[in-house]
Parts: sequence; structure tokens; C-alpha cells
Amino acid sequence: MDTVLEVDNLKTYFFIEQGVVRAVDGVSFTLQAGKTLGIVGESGCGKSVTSRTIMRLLSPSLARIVAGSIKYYPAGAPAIELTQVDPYGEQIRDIRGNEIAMIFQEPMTSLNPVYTIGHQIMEAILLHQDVSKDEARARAIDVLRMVGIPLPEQRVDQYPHEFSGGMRQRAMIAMALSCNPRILIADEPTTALDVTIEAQILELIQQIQEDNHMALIMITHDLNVIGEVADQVIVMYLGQVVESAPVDDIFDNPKHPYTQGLLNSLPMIGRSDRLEPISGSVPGPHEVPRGCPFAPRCPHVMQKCREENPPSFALGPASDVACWLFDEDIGISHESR
Amino acid sequence: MSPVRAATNDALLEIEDLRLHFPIKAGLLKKTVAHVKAVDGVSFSVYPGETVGLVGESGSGKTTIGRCIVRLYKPTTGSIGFRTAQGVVDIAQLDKRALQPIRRDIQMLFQDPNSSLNARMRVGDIIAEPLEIHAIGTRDERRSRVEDLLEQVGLGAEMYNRFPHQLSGGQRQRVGVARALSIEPRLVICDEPVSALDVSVQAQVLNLLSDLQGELGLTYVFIAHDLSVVEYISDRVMVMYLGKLMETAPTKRIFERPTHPYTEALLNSIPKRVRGGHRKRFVLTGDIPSPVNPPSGCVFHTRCQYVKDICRTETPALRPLPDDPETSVACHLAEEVALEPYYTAEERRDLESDRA
Repeated sequence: MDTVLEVDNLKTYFFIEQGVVRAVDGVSFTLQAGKTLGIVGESGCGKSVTSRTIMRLLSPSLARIVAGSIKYYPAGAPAIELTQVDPYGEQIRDIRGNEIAMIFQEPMTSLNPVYTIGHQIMEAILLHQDVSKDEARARAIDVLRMVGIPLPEQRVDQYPHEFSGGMRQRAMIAMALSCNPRILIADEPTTALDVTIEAQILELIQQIQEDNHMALIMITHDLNVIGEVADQVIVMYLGQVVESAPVDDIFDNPKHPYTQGLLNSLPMIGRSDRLEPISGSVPGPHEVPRGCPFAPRCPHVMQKCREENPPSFALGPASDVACWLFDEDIGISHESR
Repeated sequence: MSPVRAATNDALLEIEDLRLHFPIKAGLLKKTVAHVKAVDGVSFSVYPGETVGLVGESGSGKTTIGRCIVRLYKPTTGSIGFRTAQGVVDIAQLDKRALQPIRRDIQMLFQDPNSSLNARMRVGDIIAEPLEIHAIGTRDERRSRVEDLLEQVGLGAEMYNRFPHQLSGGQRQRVGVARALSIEPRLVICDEPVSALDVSVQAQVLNLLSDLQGELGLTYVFIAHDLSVVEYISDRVMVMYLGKLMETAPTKRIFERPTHPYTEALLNSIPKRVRGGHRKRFVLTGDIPSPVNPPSGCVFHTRCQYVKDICRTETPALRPLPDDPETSVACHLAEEVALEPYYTAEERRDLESDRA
């Protein structure tokens, strides 16, 4: 399979007055062309900082990549180490929005209210491709049609406020797709939308992914969305990957107590038993506990968990879990869990 | 779960043909040029001790109904009958002074705990404020009441002197719950109370709400867009679309046997995990039309896959089903079309055997 992105032990820390925030603290994954990686976790787990680090969108004066690598494999060219490129430089600007594109959560705040939708899509095309204004406009109309916006010839000249929420998100997707990216990062693309519109948007993203053999990173707190689109899933908690597994294993055979807790917290239609929430709440960025970050909320916590952060234990070719329960020396075999 | 329903006149809340049309003003003289029909002829009853879920897409009018019940909005027409010890009063008609005693009985729990708590007030003072407004108890009594409430919602009395910014999102929503319950209301309007919370915290708050209901005999109107949350907490579900009720039925029935095509579409847009993976969702095309100019006839006809000529011209009334009077539906075709339940019979069997 063609690997398009390889993230290894990535650490992005924020250096602020109150101290250091380890927003992303050792994240690793690989992404294959045509496949979808789901990143799931609650607020503050570092999923958005991960995506913004890949895109190099974070200001170096605030956030620093302190360790790790992000290798991007362009088609027919040597790998580019994204942690080393100048975040304001030519090289990243060629990649950003062109080969790696992103859809943000809030379509209203991510679109500029004073320019037409067409203008904003054409901006990306003119920046990255050697085409005339007329050709860019034609391409903008094409992508609007592709994302299912009716009457794209008229809509292209309208402003964001003239679009409904679902239409704005479609316009955002059109913008992201205008340069045929190889990787699309979707950061909570449906969170602000109704369930009917969410269904439309996810279907659209998957269809385009299939047509273009695009790799997709779907970042969300919604396990249902993950279940629907992802092939491989990483579960994040306080900046760390606690579990990584194929999507069916995450749902049918979750290993990490946090993953299990998330699934037990989720109301499922047709399951009338009482929800079993995880106790407590996600600690603040300055209160990250010693040892395993999940230890204070974990129902299986042991002395060792409070002292030492567990490494990642491989349970299969695509399954890893960072939990001491899976350490052979601790004595609990994988089968009994 | 579902309380035994006695005769209709036992209703705690009885809403009759409620309408709220917001004027749209334009031009120099601010002339009214049109109306947004946010709620357009809605009737329903709520019985003591039950939880009624109000669902629909954004713009369907569910929040507006909630705000009419607590009289943050004054309805354009229609009545909101509320049962008190002195008999039934029509909240829609009361003036500010007459509303004051009713406000003790009806409280609201808001969606966003960050913006619905005063950042400059201490947690204890926030919870005590309704007691002060209604002049309940002495200062010491109020303090001990607030401490009890803090325990009851799982925060602990030591939170009394904290400020909202020192709390997590889930803790803040617990403060909202304690505030709503401080004056012992009978009816609580919960407007998307968990949608701003993380999954694990959401489950905590849902369990808290259902425990408190059992302990205090509360009645909830639970407004939410997330159907799985509504299914978990509600005894009955009302489905809204463009300011109108499309269907109202016991929760189990809605999911097992939807009667309105919109309910079917809404249910089947929810992702579902069945044996062997996630199933593909049904995709309802198009957007919700503008409530300024709602479609003629049945408001859903522009997106309905079963649409017939009659739907375009005649507005269907909400009517009880002959074979199930607990279920009411506003659809001409309710008897004709067979709709998809959330789970097929086979999926339901799989689900049950997997669980066993």
C-alpha cells in the first residue's frame, strides 16, 4: 500500500506563561492512500493540535515541535520532513491547501464573510495552479457542482451568509478539494450540523475520497462518525495515543479502559441499560497526572499506573494499546481482558 | 419507565394551538415585511413525572417552544395551560406579576454551561439566587439548602466558594442543574443540556437528571437534536419540523415503528452499528426550507420520498392513530406507506443475542 503520511512520536508543546502544555505528547500513525484514519478523543486531548501541527499552522512563537517526525510522501518525489520546513516558507505553502487540504469545524468562522464563495475557492486555485482567472472560475463552479450545490453558476457569486449551514460546509469542502489534494484532514466537519446534513456531508466526503483515491484523516469526538468512515482508529487522551486499532476492533473489542469507558458512555438506540460513564472529567492542561494520564479515572488502576506512563504494547499488526494491563509481567494475559 | 396515564385532565402542561411568529422588519420605518413562523400551531400535553423528548433539526422550533413555556417569549396566539394547586392557568396570557409565582414551578436548564452562569458570581451565590428572588428562607437556611443541593448534584459543599471558571464543563452543567432545582420546580425545560459536553461527562449528567427525576418526581421537557440521547431519557418523543409537530409517540414505538416519513428519515440518518460493521445511512436530500415561506400543504412534502398530490395542497392535521391512540401523526399517508424502523427485525435479534 502507498503510505502518504507517516507521523512518528510527534510532540508539540505550548510554552506559555503558566508553564508548558504538552498538547501532543508522542503521537504516531501512518496513513495510506485511499484509506481513512479516525482520530477520536474528548476536548483537550490534542486531536486538533495534531492536525494543525501536520499543516504547520501553529505559530512557532507559541507552539514548538519538540520531538518526532512527520514524513509526507509526495507522488514520485522524495519524502518531505514537515517538521523541518519553514512554517512561513514557500515549500509548505505549496503543500498546504494543495496536496494536503483541511476542512474546519465552523464553516461560518472559516469562511470570509466579505468575499464571495467563488472568490474564496478561486483564491486557492490561483495560488496553486497555473491557470487563468476564467479557468479558475470554471473550476470553482465544477467543484461546487461536485459537492452537490444546486445552481453553482449562480451560487458562485454569493456570499457565505446566503448559504445555509450545510451549504457552507459543502463550500468549505469544495474549497479543500479544488486542488485535488492527496490528503484531506477533516477536523470535526459535521459537529455543528444536524444529523440529516451530517449524513449528506459524510456521504459526500466518502464518495470524493473513493473517486480521487484520497487519504482522509477524520478528527472527531463522535464515535458514531468514526465507526462510519474510518478504517484505522487512534484514540487520544491528554495528548497521547492510548489505543490504535482497526475500526471494528475499537467497537467490538476495545482494549484500553478509556476506549471501553467512552463506548459505555455512549447512549445507543435499542440498548436500554443504564449508561456507565467514566468517573471524573478530563483534567486541565496544567494538571496532567503523573504516570498514565488516565490513571485517576481508570477503574482498573494499579500502583504502577500512578508511577510510570505505560509504553505502547503491540497486540497485533495494526493494534497497539498503552496500558499496563497488557504488560506480560503484570500478569494479565490479553485473552482474559 | 412510562407513567400510567390517567384521563387527559391530569396533564401538568397542556399546550393548545401554540403559535409564535417573529416579525421581520425592513426599511427606514421598520415596517413588518414578513413573519418567521417559528412555531406554527402546536398542541400537546405533558403528564406529571414523565419525560417528553422534543426533537427536530435546527430551525424546527423546538427551542422556541421551550422558551414559550418559561415565557421568555410571549406566544402570538394559543394557550399554555399549567396545572397549579389553584387550578389550571394559561401561562401565555399572564403578565409579569402574575407569572412570578408560576416561575417557581417551571425552571429551565440551558445548553451552554459556560455562558449561562455569571462568571463573576460564586457557585453558591449562583445556586442561591433563585431562592433570593423568590424570598425563600433566611440567609442561613438558603446556605444550607445550597450545600445540600451541591451534594445532591454530586459536586460537594466545598464548591460553594468557587467561580465558574474553576470548574470543568460537566461541573458547570451540574451547577446549572442545582440552580434549576433550588426552588423545587415541578417542571424543568431542558434545552440541549448535554450537547456541549464531552461524551463521558454527557453520560454523567444524563444519569444525574434521571436519578433526580426519580427522587424528586420531576417532569421534564427534554429538547435535543441527538436522538440517541432522547431515546435514553424520554418516555415519549415529539418530532418537530418547520414549527409543526409531525409525530408524537411513546419512545419505543417511535424507534420500532415510525409513522411519519420525516421520523423515518431522521431515524435512519443516525449512524447505526450492527453485526459486522456500521450500516450506511439513509440520506435525506436538501435543506430544511425557510420558515418565512414554508411549503404549502404538508411542510415536509418538498423532501418526502412518498409525496403524493394531496400532500402539496392540503395540510395534514395531527391525529391519533385508530389502532394506537398514544401515537399521533400529521401525515395523509400514515396508513398507506410502510416505513423503515431504526433496526430491522433481524438486526434487533442479532443485537439481543449479541448482548446475551
